[in-house]
Amino acid sequence: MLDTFVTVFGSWDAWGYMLVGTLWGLIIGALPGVGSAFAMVIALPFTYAMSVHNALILLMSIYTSAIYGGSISACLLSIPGTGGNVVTCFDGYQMTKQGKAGLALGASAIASEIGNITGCTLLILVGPKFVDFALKFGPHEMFMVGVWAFVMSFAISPGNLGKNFAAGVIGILLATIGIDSKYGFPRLTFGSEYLLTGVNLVPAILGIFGVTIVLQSIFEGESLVTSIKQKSLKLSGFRGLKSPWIWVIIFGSTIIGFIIGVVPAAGSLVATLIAYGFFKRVSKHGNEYGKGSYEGIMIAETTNNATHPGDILTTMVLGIPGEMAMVILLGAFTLHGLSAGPLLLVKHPEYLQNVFLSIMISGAATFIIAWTTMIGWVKAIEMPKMFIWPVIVLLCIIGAYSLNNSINDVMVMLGTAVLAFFMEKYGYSKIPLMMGLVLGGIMEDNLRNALLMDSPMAFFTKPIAMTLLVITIGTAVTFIWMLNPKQSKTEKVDG
Amino acid sequence: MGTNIKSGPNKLRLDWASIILLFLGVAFLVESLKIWGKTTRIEPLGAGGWPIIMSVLWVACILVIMASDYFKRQPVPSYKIDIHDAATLRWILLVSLILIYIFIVRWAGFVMTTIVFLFAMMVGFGSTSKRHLIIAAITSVGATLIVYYCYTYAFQIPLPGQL
Repeated sequence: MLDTFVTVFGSWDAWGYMLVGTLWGLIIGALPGVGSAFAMVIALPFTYAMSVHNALILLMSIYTSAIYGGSISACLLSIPGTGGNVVTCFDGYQMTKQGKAGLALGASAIASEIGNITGCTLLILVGPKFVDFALKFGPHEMFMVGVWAFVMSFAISPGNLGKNFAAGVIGILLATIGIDSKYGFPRLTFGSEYLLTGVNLVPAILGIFGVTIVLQSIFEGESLVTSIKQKSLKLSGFRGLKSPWIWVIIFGSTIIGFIIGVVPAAGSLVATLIAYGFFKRVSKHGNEYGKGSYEGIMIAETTNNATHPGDILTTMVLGIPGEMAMVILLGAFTLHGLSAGPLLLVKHPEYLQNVFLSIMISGAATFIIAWTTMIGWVKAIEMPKMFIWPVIVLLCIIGAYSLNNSINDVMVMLGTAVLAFFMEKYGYSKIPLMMGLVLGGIMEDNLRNALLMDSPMAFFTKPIAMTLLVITIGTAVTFIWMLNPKQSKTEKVDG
Repeated sequence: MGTNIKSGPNKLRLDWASIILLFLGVAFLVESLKIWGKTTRIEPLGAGGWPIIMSVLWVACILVIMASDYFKRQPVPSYKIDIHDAATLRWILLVSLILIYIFIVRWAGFVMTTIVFLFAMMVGFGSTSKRHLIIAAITSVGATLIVYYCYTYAFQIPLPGQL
């Protein structure tokens, strides 16, 4: 490892690429709807002229810092920059509304850095052994992972469980709109050409988490002229680390994040949701989650950052990308005449070490840059909402448009925003709606493949699928009957 | 805006959101049935199987929720939309502005349309004091130009109205 460090980071240009990549990823990651994949795509052509090591340094730095960048918009605006930042919105934005944006960003930065360190440590120590485990995940197992995450999503959402479940089902059904992936004919489009492209995830996230917040704020008659004074509490993020329970959370989140990250195509959103739901159940402060809880942010960001080393490992060793950013990493390998696969680690073990070092160093650089610029972000959010909300709406429109250069996606964004707004008004939580949209495709594709390969009884005979089924049922029983025995019977009356 | 609670043992309690969602669920179910059978010779579930299962689940959930609300004999909130309420008007203004912006930007170009769009929203959201109008004007122009140059030249992300 030391030899690799000297070889890779022994020249000034390596450090230059790391710094440029970190800044680029941080800025792009903070923009609503853009994400790490886009930031890496822009940089990819530049890597052609670089050595493999420098290319990996640049791309991994962008990737690592974009994850934290996404948490900035998640905490300050409730707009997740990437899918893995969705759960960060639950507590991060609540903290901002309470005047603790500094604490939210500080906790997020600390959790991101710890998640990077622990995830990378696992990557180097035990990573290759987990690859065999990941290979055992077929369509049956992936379907059960999707079902588990779905159950978690409506169980942890506030409000009526029945309505949350219905919202999740609605999200799953909306995910089926468009062209069928296997046979290529339209489904649920009602004859409309606008629905042929379906409900893309990025516009839906921007609509449900971005524009809906603005619509709710206006409808509830919030004063848009005044602003929320923010306290400078970023150092409190460190004080929270004194509690031993936080370290249990960090350790558990890392394990959950890394294991699920190794599973192909599971993604950081599934991992963060499962970790969040698990700790909400076991923590003494579980009922504070979703209301501005420090623990909530630590879970979300630690898991999110710990997922990615596992994802990178699966991409490099198996050649199976778990997300768009990994597709770009594979593209970078191809550009340099390399093929991902088991032989890559045998012939070039230094590349995995390079990834490890790049993530660690870039993570530290991101932490330092984030800490020094935090006051700027906090001060920016103190502006009156009458000036911030229009710019946020504009960025959401641009984010939705930039996906396919299509106004259809902007209409989808607006449609999902209005739908989520009215659904929340009548007690249907938008969180399971969003999770249904994300998980619907995963669940359907894997279920169809599973039924093509085997009879339905295979779900009960395959050990991993059966284990996940038992865990899912246990989760449902725990949350539905033991934690939510009665719903509130009082209705809020506004004058 | 006002929230009227209707209650009473002999009145049918209706949650309009559930009714609308029920109709939507039935519409999706009917649409799903059109594609059922097209591909079931090739695979067990087919292209229509999953949408049908989810539509049936959707309709069943809504019916259970409606039945639960009815038999609980619990007041069901109905949100009376007061068109004269300032907050409701602002809400309608925002959605209308977004729709107008989406359709006009393709022909009128990004910069001018966006400046007008941002200024209209800021004025619509806030007070119309001279100071706020000036800040709104400066912020609209500044934000538009920053977004334009950053997205077009630095990030190379296409903007609406530029293609």
